[in-house]
Amino acid sequence: MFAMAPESNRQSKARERAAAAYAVEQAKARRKRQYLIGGLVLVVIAAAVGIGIAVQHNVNKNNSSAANGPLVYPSGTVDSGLAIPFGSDQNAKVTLTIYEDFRCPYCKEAESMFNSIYTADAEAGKIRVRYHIVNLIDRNAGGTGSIQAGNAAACAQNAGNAKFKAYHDVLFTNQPDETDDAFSSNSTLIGYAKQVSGLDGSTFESCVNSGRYQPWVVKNYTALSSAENGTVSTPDYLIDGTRYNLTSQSASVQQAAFKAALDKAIAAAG
Amino acid sequence: MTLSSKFSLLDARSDWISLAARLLLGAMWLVYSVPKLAQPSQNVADVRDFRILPSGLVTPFAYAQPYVELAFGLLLIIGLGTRLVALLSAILLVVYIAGIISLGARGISINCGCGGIGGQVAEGQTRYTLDVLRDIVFLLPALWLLWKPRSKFSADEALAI
Repeated sequence: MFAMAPESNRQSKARERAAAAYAVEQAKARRKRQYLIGGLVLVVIAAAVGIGIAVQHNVNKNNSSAANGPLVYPSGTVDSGLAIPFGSDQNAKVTLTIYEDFRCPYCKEAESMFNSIYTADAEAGKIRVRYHIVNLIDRNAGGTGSIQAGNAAACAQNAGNAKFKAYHDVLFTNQPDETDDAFSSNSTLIGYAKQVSGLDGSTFESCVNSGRYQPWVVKNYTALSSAENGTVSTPDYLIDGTRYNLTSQSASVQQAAFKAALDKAIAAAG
Repeated sequence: MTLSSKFSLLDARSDWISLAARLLLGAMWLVYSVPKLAQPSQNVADVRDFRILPSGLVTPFAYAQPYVELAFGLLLIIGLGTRLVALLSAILLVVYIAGIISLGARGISINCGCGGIGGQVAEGQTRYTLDVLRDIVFLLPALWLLWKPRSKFSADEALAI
Protein backbone atom coordinates (compact mmCIF):
# COMPACT_ATOMS: atom_id res chain seq x y z
CA MET A 1 0.00 0.00 0.00
CA PHE A 2 1.25 3.43 -0.88
CA ALA A 3 0.48 6.29 1.30
CA MET A 4 -1.23 9.10 -0.57
CA ALA A 5 1.05 12.03 -1.04
CA PRO A 6 -0.34 15.07 0.76
CA GLU A 7 -2.25 17.23 -1.67
CA SER A 8 -0.62 20.41 -2.62
CA ASN A 9 -2.55 23.61 -2.11
CA ARG A 10 -2.82 24.10 -5.87
CA GLN A 11 -4.26 20.68 -6.47
CA SER A 12 -6.97 21.12 -3.88
CA LYS A 13 -7.93 24.50 -5.32
CA ALA A 14 -8.25 23.00 -8.78
CA ARG A 15 -10.41 20.24 -7.42
CA GLU A 16 -12.69 22.76 -5.70
CA ARG A 17 -13.02 24.70 -8.91
CA ALA A 18 -13.89 21.55 -10.81
CA ALA A 19 -16.48 20.60 -8.19
CA ALA A 20 -18.02 24.06 -8.33
CA ALA A 21 -18.16 23.98 -12.12
CA TYR A 22 -19.75 20.53 -11.95
CA ALA A 23 -22.36 21.77 -9.45
CA VAL A 24 -23.21 24.72 -11.71
CA GLU A 25 -23.49 22.34 -14.65
CA GLN A 26 -25.76 20.05 -12.63
CA ALA A 27 -27.96 22.92 -11.48
CA LYS A 28 -28.25 24.13 -15.07
CA ALA A 29 -29.24 20.69 -16.30
CA ARG A 30 -31.75 20.37 -13.47
CA ARG A 31 -33.33 23.72 -14.23
CA LYS A 32 -33.53 22.75 -17.88
CA ARG A 33 -35.36 19.54 -16.95
CA GLN A 34 -37.69 21.51 -14.70
CA TYR A 35 -38.57 23.92 -17.48
CA LEU A 36 -39.08 21.01 -19.84
CA ILE A 37 -41.43 19.25 -17.43
CA GLY A 38 -43.24 22.51 -16.66
CA GLY A 39 -43.69 23.06 -20.39
CA LEU A 40 -44.89 19.50 -20.82
CA VAL A 41 -47.46 19.96 -18.04
CA LEU A 42 -48.75 23.17 -19.63
CA VAL A 43 -49.01 21.41 -23.00
CA VAL A 44 -51.03 18.61 -21.38
CA ILE A 45 -53.40 21.11 -19.76
CA ALA A 46 -53.74 23.12 -22.97
CA ALA A 47 -54.51 19.85 -24.78
CA ALA A 48 -57.20 19.13 -22.17
CA VAL A 49 -58.81 22.51 -22.84
CA GLY A 50 -58.54 21.87 -26.58
CA ILE A 51 -60.19 18.46 -26.30
CA GLY A 52 -63.04 19.97 -24.28
CA ILE A 53 -63.67 22.69 -26.86
CA ALA A 54 -63.42 20.18 -29.71
CA VAL A 55 -65.94 17.89 -28.01
CA GLN A 56 -68.26 20.85 -27.54
CA HIS A 57 -68.08 21.79 -31.23
CA ASN A 58 -68.64 18.20 -32.19
CA VAL A 59 -71.67 17.88 -29.94
CA ASN A 60 -73.18 21.08 -31.29
CA LYS A 61 -72.53 20.00 -34.85
CA ASN A 62 -73.91 16.51 -34.34
CA ASN A 63 -77.01 17.86 -32.71
CA SER A 64 -78.58 18.51 -36.07
CA SER A 65 -77.34 19.98 -39.30
CA ALA A 66 -80.82 21.14 -40.33
CA ALA A 67 -80.86 23.32 -37.19
CA ASN A 68 -78.34 25.64 -38.86
CA GLY A 69 -80.44 26.10 -42.00
CA PRO A 70 -82.36 29.23 -42.97
CA LEU A 71 -85.06 30.39 -40.55
CA VAL A 72 -88.56 29.81 -41.89
CA TYR A 73 -91.80 30.19 -39.95
CA PRO A 74 -94.70 27.74 -39.97
CA SER A 75 -97.86 29.25 -41.43
CA GLY A 76 -100.28 31.00 -39.09
CA THR A 77 -97.76 31.74 -36.37
CA VAL A 78 -98.09 34.87 -34.23
CA ASP A 79 -95.92 36.96 -31.89
CA SER A 80 -93.21 37.67 -34.48
CA GLY A 81 -93.73 34.20 -35.91
CA LEU A 82 -92.49 32.45 -32.79
CA ALA A 83 -95.77 31.23 -31.29
CA ILE A 84 -98.38 28.79 -32.57
CA PRO A 85 -101.79 30.10 -31.51
CA PHE A 86 -104.71 28.03 -30.31
CA GLY A 87 -108.25 28.97 -29.35
CA SER A 88 -111.52 29.94 -31.02
CA ASP A 89 -111.17 33.64 -30.18
CA GLN A 90 -107.74 35.01 -30.95
CA ASN A 91 -108.84 38.35 -29.48
CA ALA A 92 -109.55 36.78 -26.08
CA LYS A 93 -108.31 39.04 -23.32
CA VAL A 94 -106.43 36.36 -21.37
CA THR A 95 -103.31 34.83 -22.89
CA LEU A 96 -101.79 31.56 -21.76
CA THR A 97 -98.24 31.24 -23.05
CA ILE A 98 -96.64 27.79 -22.91
CA TYR A 99 -92.98 27.06 -23.50
CA GLU A 100 -92.47 23.34 -23.81
CA ASP A 101 -90.29 20.57 -25.19
CA PHE A 102 -91.82 17.34 -26.47
CA ARG A 103 -89.06 15.35 -24.75
CA CYS A 104 -89.37 17.03 -21.35
CA PRO A 105 -91.01 14.85 -18.66
CA TYR A 106 -92.30 17.80 -16.60
CA CYS A 107 -93.88 19.22 -19.76
CA LYS A 108 -95.75 15.95 -20.17
CA GLU A 109 -96.76 16.05 -16.52
CA ALA A 110 -98.06 19.60 -16.91
CA GLU A 111 -99.91 18.71 -20.13
CA SER A 112 -101.49 15.65 -18.51
CA MET A 113 -102.84 17.84 -15.70
CA PHE A 114 -103.67 21.10 -17.47
CA ASN A 115 -104.36 20.28 -21.14
CA SER A 116 -108.07 19.52 -20.71
CA ILE A 117 -108.54 22.67 -18.60
CA TYR A 118 -106.90 25.17 -20.92
CA THR A 119 -108.23 23.44 -24.05
CA ALA A 120 -111.81 23.83 -22.82
CA ASP A 121 -111.24 27.53 -22.01
CA ALA A 122 -109.52 28.14 -25.35
CA GLU A 123 -112.26 26.40 -27.33
CA ALA A 124 -114.84 28.43 -25.42
CA GLY A 125 -112.99 31.59 -26.47
CA LYS A 126 -112.24 32.61 -22.88
CA ILE A 127 -108.49 32.46 -23.36
CA ARG A 128 -106.03 32.27 -26.24
CA VAL A 129 -103.06 29.93 -26.08
CA ARG A 130 -99.56 30.60 -27.43
CA TYR A 131 -97.34 27.56 -27.86
CA HIS A 132 -93.58 27.99 -28.02
CA ILE A 133 -91.75 24.78 -28.85
CA VAL A 134 -88.13 24.59 -27.62
CA ASN A 135 -85.34 21.99 -27.61
CA LEU A 136 -84.07 22.01 -24.05
CA ILE A 137 -83.63 18.27 -23.48
CA ASP A 138 -81.50 17.80 -26.61
CA ARG A 139 -79.13 20.32 -25.08
CA ASN A 140 -79.15 18.69 -21.66
CA ALA A 141 -79.28 15.01 -22.44
CA GLY A 142 -77.94 14.99 -26.00
CA GLY A 143 -79.79 13.75 -29.04
CA THR A 144 -82.15 15.39 -31.52
CA GLY A 145 -85.60 14.22 -30.43
CA SER A 146 -86.71 17.61 -29.12
CA ILE A 147 -85.83 19.52 -32.26
CA GLN A 148 -87.18 16.85 -34.61
CA ALA A 149 -90.46 16.56 -32.72
CA GLY A 150 -90.66 20.38 -32.68
CA ASN A 151 -90.10 20.44 -36.43
CA ALA A 152 -92.80 17.78 -36.97
CA ALA A 153 -95.25 19.78 -34.85
CA ALA A 154 -94.51 22.86 -36.98
CA CYS A 155 -95.18 20.75 -40.08
CA ALA A 156 -98.54 19.78 -38.54
CA GLN A 157 -99.30 23.49 -37.98
CA ASN A 158 -98.69 24.02 -41.70
CA ALA A 159 -101.36 21.42 -42.35
CA GLY A 160 -103.81 23.26 -40.11
CA ASN A 161 -104.06 24.60 -36.58
CA ALA A 162 -106.47 21.88 -35.41
CA LYS A 163 -104.09 19.22 -36.74
CA PHE A 164 -101.24 20.85 -34.84
CA LYS A 165 -103.20 20.77 -31.57
CA ALA A 166 -104.17 17.13 -32.05
CA TYR A 167 -100.63 16.10 -33.04
CA HIS A 168 -99.17 18.08 -30.11
CA ASP A 169 -101.41 16.11 -27.73
CA VAL A 170 -100.51 12.79 -29.40
CA LEU A 171 -96.78 13.49 -29.06
CA PHE A 172 -97.07 14.27 -25.35
CA THR A 173 -99.21 11.19 -24.76
CA ASN A 174 -96.57 9.05 -26.45
CA GLN A 175 -93.54 10.76 -24.99
CA PRO A 176 -90.64 8.29 -24.51
CA ASP A 177 -88.44 8.18 -21.41
CA GLU A 178 -86.18 11.21 -21.14
CA THR A 179 -83.12 9.04 -21.85
CA ASP A 180 -84.77 7.30 -24.82
CA ASP A 181 -84.41 9.54 -27.86
CA ALA A 182 -87.27 7.88 -29.78
CA PHE A 183 -88.43 11.21 -31.26
CA SER A 184 -85.13 11.47 -33.12
CA SER A 185 -86.60 9.05 -35.67
CA ASN A 186 -88.64 10.80 -38.35
CA SER A 187 -90.47 7.58 -39.16
CA THR A 188 -91.59 7.33 -35.52
CA LEU A 189 -92.86 10.93 -35.72
CA ILE A 190 -94.63 10.20 -39.00
CA GLY A 191 -96.09 7.06 -37.42
CA TYR A 192 -97.72 9.15 -34.65
CA ALA A 193 -99.19 11.45 -37.32
CA LYS A 194 -101.40 8.55 -38.39
CA GLN A 195 -103.34 9.09 -35.12
CA VAL A 196 -104.42 12.52 -36.39
CA SER A 197 -106.95 12.19 -39.15
CA GLY A 198 -105.88 13.81 -42.40
CA LEU A 199 -102.40 14.77 -41.21
CA ASP A 200 -100.17 12.10 -42.67
CA GLY A 201 -99.41 12.49 -46.35
CA SER A 202 -96.57 13.20 -48.70
CA THR A 203 -96.51 16.93 -47.87
CA PHE A 204 -96.27 16.27 -44.13
CA GLU A 205 -93.71 13.51 -44.58
CA SER A 206 -91.39 15.53 -46.80
CA CYS A 207 -91.72 18.45 -44.38
CA VAL A 208 -90.76 16.23 -41.40
CA ASN A 209 -87.85 14.71 -43.30
CA SER A 210 -86.53 18.09 -44.45
CA GLY A 211 -86.22 19.40 -40.89
CA ARG A 212 -87.03 22.82 -42.32
CA TYR A 213 -88.52 24.21 -39.10
CA GLN A 214 -85.62 23.18 -36.85
CA PRO A 215 -84.11 26.70 -36.96
CA TRP A 216 -87.51 27.99 -35.82
CA VAL A 217 -87.34 25.72 -32.74
CA VAL A 218 -83.81 26.96 -32.02
CA LYS A 219 -85.04 30.54 -32.41
CA ASN A 220 -87.73 29.90 -29.79
CA TYR A 221 -85.15 28.41 -27.45
CA THR A 222 -82.85 31.40 -27.87
CA ALA A 223 -85.72 33.78 -27.24
CA LEU A 224 -86.67 31.92 -24.05
CA SER A 225 -83.05 31.73 -22.96
CA SER A 226 -82.51 35.46 -23.27
CA ALA A 227 -85.84 36.13 -21.54
CA GLU A 228 -84.74 33.95 -18.64
CA ASN A 229 -81.17 35.26 -18.50
CA GLY A 230 -79.73 32.03 -19.75
CA THR A 231 -81.36 29.75 -17.21
CA VAL A 232 -83.97 27.84 -19.17
CA SER A 233 -86.33 25.43 -17.56
CA THR A 234 -89.44 23.92 -19.06
CA PRO A 235 -92.35 23.86 -18.96
CA ASP A 236 -93.09 27.54 -18.60
CA TYR A 237 -96.76 28.42 -18.23
CA LEU A 238 -97.44 32.13 -18.23
CA ILE A 239 -100.90 33.51 -17.59
CA ASP A 240 -100.88 37.03 -19.03
CA GLY A 241 -97.12 37.04 -18.63
CA THR A 242 -97.09 35.86 -15.01
CA ARG A 243 -95.42 32.52 -14.48
CA TYR A 244 -97.57 29.71 -13.18
CA ASN A 245 -95.32 27.24 -11.38
CA LEU A 246 -95.68 23.51 -11.06
CA THR A 247 -95.59 22.27 -7.48
CA SER A 248 -95.06 18.89 -5.89
CA GLN A 249 -98.69 18.74 -4.80
CA SER A 250 -101.05 16.06 -6.08
CA ALA A 251 -102.48 16.39 -9.59
CA SER A 252 -105.99 17.16 -8.38
CA VAL A 253 -104.77 19.99 -6.11
CA GLN A 254 -102.66 21.46 -8.93
CA GLN A 255 -105.51 21.16 -11.43
CA ALA A 256 -107.85 23.01 -9.07
CA ALA A 257 -105.22 25.72 -8.49
CA PHE A 258 -104.54 26.10 -12.23
CA LYS A 259 -108.24 26.34 -13.03
CA ALA A 260 -108.68 28.91 -10.25
CA ALA A 261 -105.76 30.95 -11.60
CA LEU A 262 -107.22 30.93 -15.13
CA ASP A 263 -110.72 31.77 -13.85
CA LYS A 264 -109.32 34.64 -11.82
CA ALA A 265 -107.52 36.07 -14.85
CA ILE A 266 -110.67 35.67 -16.99
CA ALA A 267 -112.80 37.38 -14.35
CA ALA A 268 -110.28 40.21 -13.97
CA ALA A 269 -110.23 40.77 -17.74
CA GLY A 270 -114.01 40.98 -17.70
CA MET B 1 -38.50 16.25 21.70
CA THR B 2 -37.57 19.74 20.62
CA LEU B 3 -39.46 21.63 17.98
CA SER B 4 -36.60 21.40 15.51
CA SER B 5 -36.34 17.65 15.90
CA LYS B 6 -40.07 17.37 15.25
CA PHE B 7 -39.53 19.34 12.07
CA SER B 8 -36.65 17.15 11.05
CA LEU B 9 -38.87 14.13 11.53
CA LEU B 10 -41.45 15.79 9.27
CA ASP B 11 -38.64 16.51 6.83
CA ALA B 12 -37.47 12.93 6.84
CA ARG B 13 -40.98 11.74 6.06
CA SER B 14 -41.95 14.61 3.79
CA ASP B 15 -41.60 12.65 0.56
CA TRP B 16 -44.03 10.07 1.88
CA ILE B 17 -46.45 12.77 3.06
CA SER B 18 -46.14 14.39 -0.36
CA LEU B 19 -46.97 11.07 -2.00
CA ALA B 20 -50.15 10.85 0.10
CA ALA B 21 -51.01 14.48 -0.71
CA ARG B 22 -50.46 13.86 -4.43
CA LEU B 23 -52.69 10.80 -4.49
CA LEU B 24 -55.42 12.44 -2.40
CA LEU B 25 -55.54 15.59 -4.53
CA GLY B 26 -55.27 13.56 -7.74
CA ALA B 27 -58.12 11.29 -6.68
CA MET B 28 -60.22 14.34 -5.81
CA TRP B 29 -59.77 15.77 -9.33
CA LEU B 30 -60.72 12.45 -10.90
CA VAL B 31 -63.83 12.21 -8.74
CA TYR B 32 -64.69 15.81 -9.68
CA SER B 33 -64.19 15.28 -13.39
CA VAL B 34 -65.76 11.91 -14.20
CA PRO B 35 -69.47 12.71 -13.63
CA LYS B 36 -69.03 15.91 -15.65
CA LEU B 37 -67.32 14.04 -18.47
CA ALA B 38 -70.23 11.63 -18.57
CA GLN B 39 -72.83 14.42 -18.77
CA PRO B 40 -71.29 17.46 -20.40
CA SER B 41 -74.58 19.19 -21.12
CA GLN B 42 -75.59 18.83 -17.48
CA ASN B 43 -72.36 20.59 -16.61
CA VAL B 44 -73.26 23.40 -19.00
CA ALA B 45 -76.51 23.86 -17.10
CA ASP B 46 -74.66 23.76 -13.77
CA VAL B 47 -72.08 26.33 -14.82
CA ARG B 48 -74.90 28.52 -16.11
CA ASP B 49 -76.71 28.18 -12.77
CA PHE B 50 -73.76 29.82 -11.03
CA ARG B 51 -74.56 32.96 -13.09
CA ILE B 52 -70.97 34.15 -12.95
CA LEU B 53 -69.58 33.66 -16.45
CA PRO B 54 -70.98 35.66 -19.38
CA SER B 55 -73.27 33.44 -21.45
CA GLY B 56 -70.80 33.15 -24.33
CA LEU B 57 -68.18 31.60 -22.07
CA VAL B 58 -70.45 29.21 -20.20
CA THR B 59 -70.42 26.40 -22.76
CA PRO B 60 -66.68 26.40 -23.60
CA PHE B 61 -65.83 26.55 -19.89
CA ALA B 62 -68.24 23.77 -19.02
CA TYR B 63 -66.82 21.51 -21.72
CA ALA B 64 -63.15 22.22 -20.98
CA GLN B 65 -63.46 22.12 -17.17
CA PRO B 66 -63.78 18.33 -16.69
CA TYR B 67 -60.88 17.63 -19.07
CA VAL B 68 -58.67 20.07 -17.18
CA GLU B 69 -59.68 18.43 -13.90
CA LEU B 70 -58.90 15.04 -15.43
CA ALA B 71 -55.47 16.28 -16.57
CA PHE B 72 -54.72 17.66 -13.09
CA GLY B 73 -55.73 14.33 -11.54
CA LEU B 74 -53.60 12.21 -13.85
CA LEU B 75 -50.57 14.54 -13.63
CA LEU B 76 -50.74 14.44 -9.82
CA ILE B 77 -51.09 10.68 -9.71
CA ILE B 78 -48.06 10.10 -11.95
CA GLY B 79 -46.30 12.97 -10.17
CA LEU B 80 -45.28 15.03 -13.16
CA GLY B 81 -44.64 18.74 -12.61
CA THR B 82 -46.01 18.34 -9.09
CA ARG B 83 -45.34 21.87 -7.86
CA LEU B 84 -46.85 23.53 -10.94
CA VAL B 85 -49.94 21.32 -10.89
CA ALA B 86 -50.32 21.89 -7.15
CA LEU B 87 -50.21 25.65 -7.76
CA LEU B 88 -52.82 25.44 -10.54
CA SER B 89 -54.96 23.11 -8.39
CA ALA B 90 -54.84 25.56 -5.49
CA ILE B 91 -55.84 28.43 -7.80
CA LEU B 92 -58.76 26.46 -9.25
CA LEU B 93 -59.93 25.40 -5.78
CA VAL B 94 -59.85 29.00 -4.60
CA VAL B 95 -61.95 29.94 -7.66
CA TYR B 96 -64.45 27.19 -6.77
CA ILE B 97 -64.58 28.29 -3.14
CA ALA B 98 -65.16 31.90 -4.18
CA GLY B 99 -67.86 30.75 -6.60
CA ILE B 100 -69.74 28.82 -3.92
CA ILE B 101 -69.44 31.63 -1.39
CA SER B 102 -70.80 34.06 -3.97
CA LEU B 103 -73.79 31.74 -4.52
CA GLY B 104 -74.53 31.88 -0.81
CA ALA B 105 -74.07 35.64 -0.78
CA ARG B 106 -76.38 36.13 -3.77
CA GLY B 107 -78.95 33.71 -2.35
CA ILE B 108 -78.99 31.43 -5.39
CA SER B 109 -80.22 27.98 -4.40
CA ILE B 110 -78.33 25.37 -6.34
CA ASN B 111 -76.75 22.12 -5.43
CA CYS B 112 -73.30 23.12 -6.57
CA GLY B 113 -71.96 20.67 -9.11
CA CYS B 114 -68.56 20.83 -7.47
CA GLY B 115 -68.20 17.20 -6.51
CA GLY B 116 -70.36 15.78 -9.20
CA ILE B 117 -73.61 16.77 -10.74
CA GLY B 118 -75.50 19.79 -9.52
CA GLY B 119 -78.78 21.38 -10.39
CA GLN B 120 -81.26 23.66 -8.81
CA VAL B 121 -82.63 22.63 -5.45
CA ALA B 122 -85.29 24.03 -3.20
CA GLU B 123 -84.36 26.85 -0.87
CA GLY B 124 -82.92 25.70 2.43
CA GLN B 125 -81.54 22.52 0.90
CA THR B 126 -78.21 23.92 -0.12
CA ARG B 127 -75.11 22.95 1.79
CA TYR B 128 -72.69 25.67 0.87
CA THR B 129 -70.83 25.58 4.18
CA LEU B 130 -70.12 21.89 3.69
CA ASP B 131 -69.05 22.45 0.06
CA VAL B 132 -66.72 25.28 1.03
CA LEU B 133 -65.25 23.26 3.90
CA ARG B 134 -64.64 20.31 1.61
CA ASP B 135 -62.81 22.44 -0.94
CA ILE B 136 -60.78 24.05 1.84
CA VAL B 137 -59.81 20.59 3.10
CA PHE B 138 -58.58 19.77 -0.41
CA LEU B 139 -56.60 23.00 -0.47
CA LEU B 140 -54.38 21.56 2.29
CA PRO B 141 -52.66 18.85 0.19
CA ALA B 142 -52.30 21.39 -2.64
CA LEU B 143 -50.53 23.85 -0.34
CA TRP B 144 -48.38 21.09 1.16
CA LEU B 145 -47.25 20.08 -2.34
CA LEU B 146 -46.41 23.68 -3.16
CA TRP B 147 -44.10 23.65 -0.14
CA LYS B 148 -42.76 20.08 -0.51
CA PRO B 149 -43.22 18.93 -4.11
CA ARG B 150 -40.68 16.10 -3.81
CA SER B 151 -42.42 12.79 -3.31
CA LYS B 152 -41.92 9.04 -3.49
CA PHE B 153 -42.79 7.19 -6.70
CA SER B 154 -43.16 10.29 -8.84
CA ALA B 155 -42.25 10.95 -12.44
CA ASP B 156 -40.42 14.03 -11.16
CA GLU B 157 -38.21 11.80 -8.99
CA ALA B 158 -37.56 9.37 -11.85
CA LEU B 159 -36.53 12.30 -14.06
CA ALA B 160 -34.17 13.46 -11.27
CA ILE B 161 -35.58 16.89 -10.65
